[in-house]
Amino acid sequence: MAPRLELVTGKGGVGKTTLCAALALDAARNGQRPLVVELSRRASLTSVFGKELGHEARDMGHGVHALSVDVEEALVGYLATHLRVRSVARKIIGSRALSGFLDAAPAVAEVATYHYLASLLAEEERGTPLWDPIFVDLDATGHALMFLGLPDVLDGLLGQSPLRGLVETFSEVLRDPEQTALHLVTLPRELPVEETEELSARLRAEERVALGELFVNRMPEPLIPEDLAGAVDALGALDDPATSADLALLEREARHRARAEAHLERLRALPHRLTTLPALPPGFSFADLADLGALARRRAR
Amino acid sequence: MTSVEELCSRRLVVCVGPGGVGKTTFAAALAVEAAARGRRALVLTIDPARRLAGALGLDGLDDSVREVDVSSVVVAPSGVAGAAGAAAPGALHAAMLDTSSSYDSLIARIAPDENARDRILGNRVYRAFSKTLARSHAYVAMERLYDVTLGDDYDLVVLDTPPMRSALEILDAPRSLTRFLDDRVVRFFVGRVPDPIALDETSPRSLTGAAALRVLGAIASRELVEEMVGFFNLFASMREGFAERARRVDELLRGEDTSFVLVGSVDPAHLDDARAMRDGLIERELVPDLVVLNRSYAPEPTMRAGSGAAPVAPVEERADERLGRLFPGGTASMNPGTQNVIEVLEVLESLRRSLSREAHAARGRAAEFAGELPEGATAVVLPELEGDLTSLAALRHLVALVDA
Repeated sequence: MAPRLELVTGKGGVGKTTLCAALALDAARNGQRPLVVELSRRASLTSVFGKELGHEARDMGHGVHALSVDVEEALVGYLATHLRVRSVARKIIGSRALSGFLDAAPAVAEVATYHYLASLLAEEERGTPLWDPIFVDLDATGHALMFLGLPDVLDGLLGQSPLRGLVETFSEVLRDPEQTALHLVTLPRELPVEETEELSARLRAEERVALGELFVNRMPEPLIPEDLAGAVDALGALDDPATSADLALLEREARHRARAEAHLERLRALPHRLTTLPALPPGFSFADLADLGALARRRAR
Repeated sequence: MTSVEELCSRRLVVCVGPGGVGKTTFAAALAVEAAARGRRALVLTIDPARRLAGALGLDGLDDSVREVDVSSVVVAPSGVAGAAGAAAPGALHAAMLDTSSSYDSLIARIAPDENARDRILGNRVYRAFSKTLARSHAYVAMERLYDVTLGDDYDLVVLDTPPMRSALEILDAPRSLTRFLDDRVVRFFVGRVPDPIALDETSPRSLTGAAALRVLGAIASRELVEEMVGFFNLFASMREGFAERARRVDELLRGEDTSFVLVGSVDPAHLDDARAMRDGLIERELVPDLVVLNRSYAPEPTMRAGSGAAPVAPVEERADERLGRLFPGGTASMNPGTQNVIEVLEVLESLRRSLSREAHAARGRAAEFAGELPEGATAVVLPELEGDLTSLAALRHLVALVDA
């Protein structure tokens, strides 16, 4: 069975959000009911679907639902499960003495998020899960590690409490490859590759989460088939200024691609299933995005 | 418009922006330029950025401050060395902000005595704070900044921040630290260890601090509450020192001598992130003096990093027309291997078109973004520089493009 919780992380700007949207659109096209969860208030998903996100799931169109976790609301939701009256939870969160503390205290946002994700996983409609799959767009890698490292931070502080139950149960979900897959997303460029190598080593050492795919986005495709090399040379030999300017562009593309290939080789050395994806065409449509999602699924299998 | 000259004359320049747009490189380039103009500059970076270390001629970067050899770009001041009136030569230093190691040393610095220090370092709530959390990293980053900027070692500090949300957290750190250490909070926790009682007894009407603590105790364990109370008891003695430093850092960030540079790119996703960042700054009553949008992928053959030579612009011409112009006698007499030049010409035409479309769209996006900026902010679009920025001269060339 495919894991129902798919976490996506990677350096900023590598296309995590686009990939989440692409995978979700493909899932919807296959009759599933995908939900995309954003953990930070980045505008990225809004710019893909053209709709504002809220703390509760909203219909983005094309069969995809999405939400953006509001930490304060998530915290109210968490406290409310332990209190009869929701307004008490709201009052605690709103307490002036406590609000500064809750803003700054470690792990508060992560605990609230664990709880919210666990409750989203548990939501059902007529006996079947309401959301399948749930894509979580984790922020840059530092935040992802913090999110996954919660049990460590709280280690020795929890005793036998309901909070311990939540942290332990959700940690089990994260570690179980039947339930969770953490996908890494990167680009065939130096800094993203370096960060991916470091992240991969850390994730494998910590063993806190079941690992999924390593997606390499925007892999350039060759522009000129090899059998045309002779024709390219013949054109270059003419010394026509306009053609030479064009050939310089072509060479630039080839250099980009050669560099990308070298970076890809480094990524191949990592023990992940690796999937390369092409860049999206300019002005791409939802169908293009869904096709990219399908390609990601197909290549990953 | 904010010029490079003005930026170099500041005390502090904070570079913010999404990841992967060349923010770290721009921060380093600005520091190099300042050094070349006779300033003593320090660039503080967050990312491991080995390439940056390479560009600066260093074998690596860590928490310790290293001197960069800038003799190739710094012109020695004229006149007798040490003579009165001779300007000091510029210098460049660099360090990576390794926030994990410096938190404990911060505590050691402000703790009233060894006993208090050891008890704080051993407190489990403190340890949770100092472990892996970005928000505590933000405090430490601000602390380091405070130390280096208020000291007399540097004329200019260029701070390269982590991407997006964490950068805003860094800006919020002084204020949220002050709120966190607010008297009310400390009073709230100090001297209280509530008895666990049935949660049902808590009603909205009777909610007090003690009741809230009971709720936390019941959910999160009595141990956690006890450690937390212990933590605040220990912190009560350091509160003043912390709050005072945090207040001064906040003043520094908002001062006249500080500029913000928002580094982004013309890539649509990056521009959305840059918008969110710009709004985040404005919400905090901070205005970016300069917006640098990188990687305009020009349809012209790229300028090589470090060179100012203008490339030849491509010419619009249909593939079949060019074929006729270049081979007036047709291609039938050519070698079989070169006969399919038309296919290559078609690839070239479509490449030229797509690059030109991309460049046009990028210019439009950049202009739209620039139009939405608040008064006093200037936006510049930098062309994509090909090749690694591996020399000080190449870094200076990058900054020179801002004024160009």
